[in-house]
Formats: sequence, C-alpha cells, structure tokens
Amino acid sequence: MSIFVSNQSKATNMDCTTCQQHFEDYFNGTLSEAAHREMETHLSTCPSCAQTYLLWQKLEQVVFEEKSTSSNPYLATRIMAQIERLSQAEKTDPVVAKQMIFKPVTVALIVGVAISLGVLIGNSYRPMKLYPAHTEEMLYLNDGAIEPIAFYEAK
Amino acid sequence: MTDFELIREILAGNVSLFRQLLERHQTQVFRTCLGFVHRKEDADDLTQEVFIQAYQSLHSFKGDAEFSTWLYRIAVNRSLNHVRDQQKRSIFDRLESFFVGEKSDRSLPVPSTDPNPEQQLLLNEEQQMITKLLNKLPEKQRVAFVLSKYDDMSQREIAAVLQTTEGAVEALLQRAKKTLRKELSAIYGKK
Repeated sequence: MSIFVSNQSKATNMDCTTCQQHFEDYFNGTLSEAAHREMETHLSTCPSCAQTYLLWQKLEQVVFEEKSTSSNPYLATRIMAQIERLSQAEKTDPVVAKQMIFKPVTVALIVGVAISLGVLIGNSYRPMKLYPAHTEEMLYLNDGAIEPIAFYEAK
Repeated sequence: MTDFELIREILAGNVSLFRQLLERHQTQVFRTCLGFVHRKEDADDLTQEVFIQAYQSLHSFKGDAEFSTWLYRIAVNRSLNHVRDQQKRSIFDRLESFFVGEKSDRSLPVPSTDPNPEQQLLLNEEQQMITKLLNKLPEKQRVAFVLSKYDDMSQREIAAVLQTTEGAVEALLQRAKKTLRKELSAIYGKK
C-alpha cells in the first residue's frame, strides 16, 4: 500500500512529494533558511514523511559507515606480490605467456574447422535412388505378391 | 610523477612503480567496490582483481581519459559482474534449499560482544534492510548512486566513467533517489 498521500501541511504550502524530494538536501543542510523551516514544519505535522525521513537518515548513516571502512592494511602488499609473480612468469618463460594467447585461439580454430567440415559433409550427402532392374519386368508385377528385394537394385 | 609518467615507466619494465599508482587509487577503488557488495572482505578481493586487471591491461590504456576514469570503469564492471554472479548463486541456493533443505545462512551477522546485543541485532537488521534496498536499484541507477554517494564524484566525472552525458547522469541520480524514497515509504506503510 502506498502512503504517498498528498497531504499538505496546514502551516505551509509544502506537500509530501516536494518534502520527500528535498530529503537529501535537508539532511546535508544545503537548503535555504525558508525551505529548511518549511521542511521542519511539514515533518513535524506529517507522520508518514517523518517516518520516511527517519529511514532516509538510516540510509545516509549506512552509506557514511561504509565509506568510513578501511581496506585490509596488507591489501597493497598482496596485490604487489601477485603482480611481481605475474611479471616474473612473463620474464622467465615468455613462451608461456604466448601460449596463454595461442592456446584458446588454436582450440577455437580447431572447433571452427570441425564444424565447417561437418556442414560440408552433411551438404554433400545425396540419398541413393532405387530403380527397378528391368523396366519390362514391371509389366509382370503382381501387386498382390511381395517383390523380392533383389528385384530392386541400385544403379 | 603523474599517472601518465608512472604508466610509461611501468610499461618500460619498472613494475615496482605500480605500487605508487596502487596507493594513489586504492581507497577510491575499494569504496566503489564496497558500494556494490557491502562486505569488506568481498570489497578487498574485488579491489585486488581490479588492480590485477588494470596491470594486465595497462598496455591498452590509450591516455584519452584520466587513468582514474579508466580504473573506475574496470572497478564498476568487475563489481557488476560480481553482483550478477551472486544473484545467480542465490537463485541456485534457493533452489537447492527447496530440494535439499535449509543451509545455515552465511550472511548472518557475527555475534557481537557489545553489552547491548539486542540493539546491535536491531542495527544489523536495519543495515541489511538498507543494503537490500540499494541492491534493488536498477544497474545504471545503482552505478550512478554509488559513484555519487560513495566516491563523491561530480556529475561530470560520473558521465566520463559511464561515457554518457551529464544530463543522463542527473536523470539517473534523480530516478535512483526517487526509487529509494518509494521503497522507504513502502517499508513505513508495511510497519
């Protein structure tokens, strides 16, 4: 249920929508004096905006606390150690570094060639056409009897 | 030395100078990552990944933008990838718990030694609620919000990172704040 009720403060002309749009500025203290007073008046008379502002303050507090968190003090050392290892690996065996690029490219090429071959082989397939061995014999065909399979042979 | 000069030296083979770049930008990158993942350990790991990727891609840095802008782009992309992976994992975890049974929740707060544990628990619940709201923001709005609130970046700087206009950034920020206010109002309505 939305409680975005357009409730105008009796003392001012500020409505809930305008009040909530200025939460951040009110929190940061960047509103003009007159706007600040209007906000205060509205918040003191509108319980829904007051509660929503309380939650907005909590959001700002969470952001502030997270911003104040420091990273692991050994993070830079950890990162540099890994970079040194990568740098050493490239220096001692440049072939390894090149293989890291060529390996996936080679695998991709092989897969591409295999797929292309498969498509070509598939397209070149022509089903066999069966013809009667002797057309004259067709006149003696008995529909009621089962023709021997040898009667039909591929040309 | 400026960032460009340091990069030139590093690419010439003076790898130890990368530490100077690292120390200059570590805090900002960490804050950006924390704004997405809200856990210190995950943010540390992500920060490490960002700098490793930056080192490995340093040869592709053309210098047409500030190094910090380029680094922020890597940080944002890495963080978003991490968040998407977490979402996929959480869907899998929910399916698994449905079929196999509930597992212990790794995201529970560590038991506090605070003399008022009840208050601590309430604070943790509120924090979790707020971080859930931030996580619900659409991706672009979330990126703009994090860069603005966590890194205190101007709209111009955010526009450079997102490779868009300042007007677009302003619109994203307005929508992000509107979305958050709407969600907060809804929470009040449920209470």
